[in-house]
Amino acid sequence: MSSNGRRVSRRDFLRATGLAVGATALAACAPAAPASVGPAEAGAPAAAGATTEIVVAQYADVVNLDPQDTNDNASYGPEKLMYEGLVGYNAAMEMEAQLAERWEASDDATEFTFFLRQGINFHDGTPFNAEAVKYNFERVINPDNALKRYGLYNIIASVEVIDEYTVKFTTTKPFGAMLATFAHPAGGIISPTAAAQYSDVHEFGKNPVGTGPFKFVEWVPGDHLTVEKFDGYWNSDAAAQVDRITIKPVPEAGTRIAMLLAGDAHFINQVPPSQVELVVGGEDVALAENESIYTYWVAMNTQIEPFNNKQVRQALNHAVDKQAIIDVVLRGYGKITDSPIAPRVWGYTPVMIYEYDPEKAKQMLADAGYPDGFSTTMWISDSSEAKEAAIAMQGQLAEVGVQVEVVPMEAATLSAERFKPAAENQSQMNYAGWSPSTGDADWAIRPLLATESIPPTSFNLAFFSDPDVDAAVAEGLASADPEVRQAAYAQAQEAIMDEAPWIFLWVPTTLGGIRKEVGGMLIQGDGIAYMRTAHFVE
Amino acid sequence: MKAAADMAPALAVDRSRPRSLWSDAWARLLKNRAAVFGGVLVIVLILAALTAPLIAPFDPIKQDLRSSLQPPSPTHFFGTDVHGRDIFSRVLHGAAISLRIGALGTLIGATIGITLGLISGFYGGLTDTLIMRVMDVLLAFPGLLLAIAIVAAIGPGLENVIIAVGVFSMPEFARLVRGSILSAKQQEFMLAARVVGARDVRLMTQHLLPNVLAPILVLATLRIATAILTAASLSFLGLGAQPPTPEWGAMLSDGREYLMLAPHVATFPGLAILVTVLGFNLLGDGLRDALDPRLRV
Repeated sequence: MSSNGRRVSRRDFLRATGLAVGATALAACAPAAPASVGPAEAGAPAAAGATTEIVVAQYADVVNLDPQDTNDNASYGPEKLMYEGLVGYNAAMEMEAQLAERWEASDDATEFTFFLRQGINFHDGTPFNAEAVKYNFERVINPDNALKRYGLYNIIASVEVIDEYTVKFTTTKPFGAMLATFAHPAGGIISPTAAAQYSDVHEFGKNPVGTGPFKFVEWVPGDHLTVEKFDGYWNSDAAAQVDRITIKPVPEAGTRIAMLLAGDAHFINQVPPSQVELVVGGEDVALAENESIYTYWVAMNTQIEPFNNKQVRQALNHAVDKQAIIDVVLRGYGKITDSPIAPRVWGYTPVMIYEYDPEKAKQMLADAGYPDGFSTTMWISDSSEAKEAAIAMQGQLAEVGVQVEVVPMEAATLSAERFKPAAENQSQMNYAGWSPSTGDADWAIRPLLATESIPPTSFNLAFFSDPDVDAAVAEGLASADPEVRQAAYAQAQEAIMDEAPWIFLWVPTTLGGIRKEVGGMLIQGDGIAYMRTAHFVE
Repeated sequence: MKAAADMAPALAVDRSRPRSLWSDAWARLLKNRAAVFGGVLVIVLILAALTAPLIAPFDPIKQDLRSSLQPPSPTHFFGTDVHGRDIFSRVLHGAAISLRIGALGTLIGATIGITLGLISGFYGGLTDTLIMRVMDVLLAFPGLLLAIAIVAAIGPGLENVIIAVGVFSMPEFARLVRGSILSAKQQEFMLAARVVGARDVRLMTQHLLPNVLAPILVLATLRIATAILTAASLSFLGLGAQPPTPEWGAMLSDGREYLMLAPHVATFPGLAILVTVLGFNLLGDGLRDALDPRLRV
């Protein structure tokens, strides 16, 4: 609690009371809304006697507040205020200890033992211990519960309580990426007593209880989610610095930016590059930039002509002026990728960049037997950013004789078309981006480029099948030793860059907008909002 | 404009003879300033569409990412879009695309609609009921929604937009023609034609159709405007012209992201749509006023 004795300036005080009055006035208009938790009720700093509240506008509404039943970033951001995992990622995507103090893994990567912190309570007073951890992971791997993250954790064969604060996981097979899987936001630990009281397992997602610095107040779908400071939080160094955070869904980017500029939101989650100048040039606001762990690429169907020819694939890599597209479409907020995975992903090795050289590309196409180029199609999502990038590539590829028909598709249609089995799959080129939410090289490579992941199983849109890459991926999983794994993934990245199943494009920067009177909020590299250090600056 | 050309000889006839419907209408049209203004806009558009490849200063799909989003200047009259393409050249080429969709779509709709309307009005009975109920079903959908449904069913693309525009223009023509036929077929000249032994097809095409040409012409002119607007809307939604085609609706959609920072990207294609629709509507309204027999003294 040491960091909470924050002095409140007169301006802050006025703003805070203004907000409180506003909230009361609103509540008076709509008595049905249980929104009027007054300052006296909230855990306000004793010195100030007024609540401090941060308002966040994000691009989509929360879908669910049960981490084991969540697969969208709009829900994970708010969840990270309320939950912590055994391990987790900090704002720079570095793994850190959270509810576990330390851990051990067996050499064959099948047994993982966690030594838990003591004296931690959930928001509902339930003590956090090995039994709670066991309850959590047995809940998610129980297929009857049909939770969305079943697939992520069903590698766990058993969870064993060694003593009150020691818990051991055994996996069904060697799984070197297990620690990163625990650090995934789905690994947030929920209160067993709170979860057990519902006969329908999915009810918990509306009534979340965790151990994090903020506890749940209310969620009015489509309108707002409110959390408030949890006074019993275990870690005084990381305790909440504001009394409340309210998160509102605002899908229209222009509206979010207007809210930020008008002071109606302190932080906005996602500023599209096309509108970045409105925030950069705005008064009292700033851009919250952060290097992402996304890589963007165009997957080429390596099973069909002409993309079954490596020289053709390399030629197309030389034909695209990545920097020019970054400068125009991303407004410079990104960098050319030199590996299939982003630098902030664990296991990354810089390999090489295919320099922009249309003459060389033409020559390579001619050598490969396509002196006049060829015609193909590129499937993209219907977002305007995807369209702008694809049209730019269409223009550049036309310069070397490759005629591309850009086909934008609505999300559901696109994924239905993309994940058809190889035999009936019509895809030639696919523009897409990927962020491995475990932060680990395994999840950045295996689902995209291993033979086992060719559609419909997973996301190998290049239908890429390379024994060297498959072997390296298997080697990385068979060990828990970081050095062994690192070496295996370096090998995989080099082989992939050389084989060029993709046109390797860029690693974008995540862009949020923040008002200058607040700090401590950004969008993490994986696209999830990081708000637990939100505070007012003096 | 073909109609205008046909009318020219009519003007030259001897003033002492009673004026025909067409020459009378032509005179009336020329007196209507709004209609003349609309006509001029339409002529300018047609000229722009025909000469676009000659007068456009740049290739409409040639990108230059280094000149992205430049404001209007002496080099780029309407500025450049995000990919550095010259918006003036794109708007000029877009005129040809929009006019083609408007004209072809309306032609398809008019041809099918008029045929169905003639058959329906002429034969009456069960045929009439069947045809008109189908038309009612089509009319029950708001035009754009119907077009979206059609394109969703047959796939996006310019050709399919033309078909969609044709289908959703069809019922209007069918209803108009049927209504006019119902009153025309009661008249004595029809009886006379029957008496001399004219067959059905001849009765329909030689005797009835000429009597309903005036309202068809008015409707067609107005429908071209609707067709162009609908096609632009479909392209705006990503269902019509596919990149990099310089279609106005698609250009408007591209510019939407930059309304605050580079308003010229959306403004010029938007103005082009506005001017075109306004031109056809003013001309159509003027034609209606000129051709409506009830206004004749």
